[in-house]
Amino acid sequence: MAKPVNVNQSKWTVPVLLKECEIYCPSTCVAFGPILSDNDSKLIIAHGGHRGVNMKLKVFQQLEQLSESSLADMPTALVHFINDLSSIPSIAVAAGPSLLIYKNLKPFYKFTVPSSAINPTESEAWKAVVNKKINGDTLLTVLKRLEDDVAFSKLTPISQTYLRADKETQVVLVEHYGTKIANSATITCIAKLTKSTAEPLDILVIGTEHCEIFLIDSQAFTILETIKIGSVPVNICAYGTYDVDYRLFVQTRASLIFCMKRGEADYQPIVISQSMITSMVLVNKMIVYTTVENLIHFASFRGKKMNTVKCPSKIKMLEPFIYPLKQLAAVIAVFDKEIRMYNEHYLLDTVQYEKPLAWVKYGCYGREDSTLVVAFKDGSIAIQIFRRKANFDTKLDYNQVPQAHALKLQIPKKTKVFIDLTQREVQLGNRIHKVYQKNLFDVKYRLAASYLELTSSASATVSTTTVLPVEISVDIHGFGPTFRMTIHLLSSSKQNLYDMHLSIISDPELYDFDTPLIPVHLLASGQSYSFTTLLYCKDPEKAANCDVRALLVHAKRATPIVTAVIKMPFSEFPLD
Amino acid sequence: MGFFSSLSSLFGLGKKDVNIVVVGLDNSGKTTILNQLKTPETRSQQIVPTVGHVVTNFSTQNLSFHAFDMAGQMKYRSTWESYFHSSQGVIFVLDSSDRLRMELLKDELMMVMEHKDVVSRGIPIVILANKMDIPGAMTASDITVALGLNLYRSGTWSIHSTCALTGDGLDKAMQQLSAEITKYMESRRT
Repeated sequence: MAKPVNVNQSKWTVPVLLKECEIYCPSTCVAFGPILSDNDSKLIIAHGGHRGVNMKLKVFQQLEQLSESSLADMPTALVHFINDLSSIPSIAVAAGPSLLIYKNLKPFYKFTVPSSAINPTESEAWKAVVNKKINGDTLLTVLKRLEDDVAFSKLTPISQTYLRADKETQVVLVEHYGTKIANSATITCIAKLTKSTAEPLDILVIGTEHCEIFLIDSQAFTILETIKIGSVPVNICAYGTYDVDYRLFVQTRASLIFCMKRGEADYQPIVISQSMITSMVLVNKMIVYTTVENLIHFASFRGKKMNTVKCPSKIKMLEPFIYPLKQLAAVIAVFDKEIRMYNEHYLLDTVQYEKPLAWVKYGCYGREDSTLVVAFKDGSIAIQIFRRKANFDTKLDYNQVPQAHALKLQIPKKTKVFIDLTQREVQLGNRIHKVYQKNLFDVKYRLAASYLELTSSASATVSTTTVLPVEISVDIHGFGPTFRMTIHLLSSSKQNLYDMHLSIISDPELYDFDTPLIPVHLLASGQSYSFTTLLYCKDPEKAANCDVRALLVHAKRATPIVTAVIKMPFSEFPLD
Repeated sequence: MGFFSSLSSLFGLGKKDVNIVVVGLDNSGKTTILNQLKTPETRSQQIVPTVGHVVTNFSTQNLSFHAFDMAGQMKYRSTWESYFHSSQGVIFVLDSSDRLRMELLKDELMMVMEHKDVVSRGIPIVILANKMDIPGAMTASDITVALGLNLYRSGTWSIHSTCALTGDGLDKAMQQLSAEITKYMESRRT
């Protein structure tokens, strides 16, 4: 089922499935942490449900669901934080423009992002339509003109919905929401930042659709700082403590990464990516981010790229991995059916699964500090624990080369002969080249000369033209003094060949031919032709033999098209 | 010497001293079990997570035990193995209701059972499936299968269901351990 391959060498224990759970949520809606008085770390999930139905905040303990409560709005992110040292930690769920705070699994507070300024024309139009001064259609026209003038994203969420809704919904919208128009931006991402090491309270950091980042004091829910950036933030990673020194790394929808330090007002992007950034995490004082080109980049906090991994397939998400007992740190990259662990130099581990993955979360669950929660596409969730004896001793290069290519060449040592030869080559290079060229020319000359001799004398089976490829073979039958000679011709040229002759020549003292010249009227391509002639040995008692040549000739060609040389056998005596 | 020792054991005076190591994951009940084995007067009321290790002394009919109560938290687990070579028995305590960590438990148990100081000396291992009173806890036979112990033939091990709070099953387990340790000591002497 959910079993990974190669369990024995795995750095993780065999996954255990949670009972009766079906979870569909993004990886941002998952957190670990103690939320009840028993101090046992729980798995907290804001379950997205189906199209706004069945949205739940679920809490798991051990392998079972501990509790669930309904959510009113679609959750976008979730964070577990400490806002009171004397009591239990809380959960913040970002839904729409609000943060819903849960304490002891009960609703505790609702924080809504302050409204931005509303376009005056827009608010007037809404007022007018509520007071029945204008009708719905006029409102639509006004909003459409505004959309052209100031851009769709600058309008309030309610106007945006109105513009995209059908007639009936528009009427409902006016009735229900017309009087209370607010321009609260939807929360896109949430992170937490420790206040100070002495006082481990958390500061909440939220990013909104209106390109703003708020730092919120989690005790009184007052806004400590507001930061305006040039693009919509989608992911925030916090580092350091708020009171001493902190940095916020903000990934935006425009594929930029900003770094915000304490006490700095000017924010410039530190990473500008040409392709879309899909995920970003912090590991070991490094920013690790992925792009749509299946690359994982490791960059320093200043944005200087240190290394890049090319991955074989699409990376779904990244998750930081820290094992403080052995000071191991890595980044877990989630692929379709496997996870891989990388650090800035090596590929450290690969775990394969039999089902497609949705997300993973690493942290403290129950009593074990290094637990990996793996969620599959089908909604099931498995839990694995990092083995105590596991290490990262076996490292692989990012892009592994096949074994044979990785072998180093055995370069021989510099012997005296080698040095002498090298010296000679350096000193007499010119002469060596000339001698070589002369020899090469000689070889070519001899080759040409012998070829010419061969073709002109027709003393061997040689085809002189490449344009007319004809194969010839000759059979000799009989023991003598009368022989039967059969010549087979096979043309493989594209056109048919006409008007040729087969000429058979030999020493006239030795042999006599029945038909020394056989006319070949047609050689059709690909067809085999055979011609037969008888030949008589004139004087078998001499016990002599010589070569017989069969030439295929054409009247208009000086050289034969093809030649066969037949070594004749010794002739027997006639049977008298 | 042999005469005196047999004489003294006859009178129950000089019980043989044995060292045992008590290991197991955190929150499995190691300290509680040892607390239960002590005489009622010496028991402590509050059980807190052990740090490092604590030596507890108790005795059965013929043996006087020095039990090394090891801490079970992850950061202390690597210290377990350094005590095996000086001990004559191992008690492995597990929480029978902790299904989440059953695979981790299997890992840790195998590391104990296959440790060179345990295998080469053949010291007895007693596995206590603790917290059997919790509803939904796994039975000893379920745990044997879940931990793959039914496939593990070498070594002397036995498994017992116990409840550390009431002491159920502990006596039987300790009797078995005493018998195994006596047998082990005899085999060492010969």
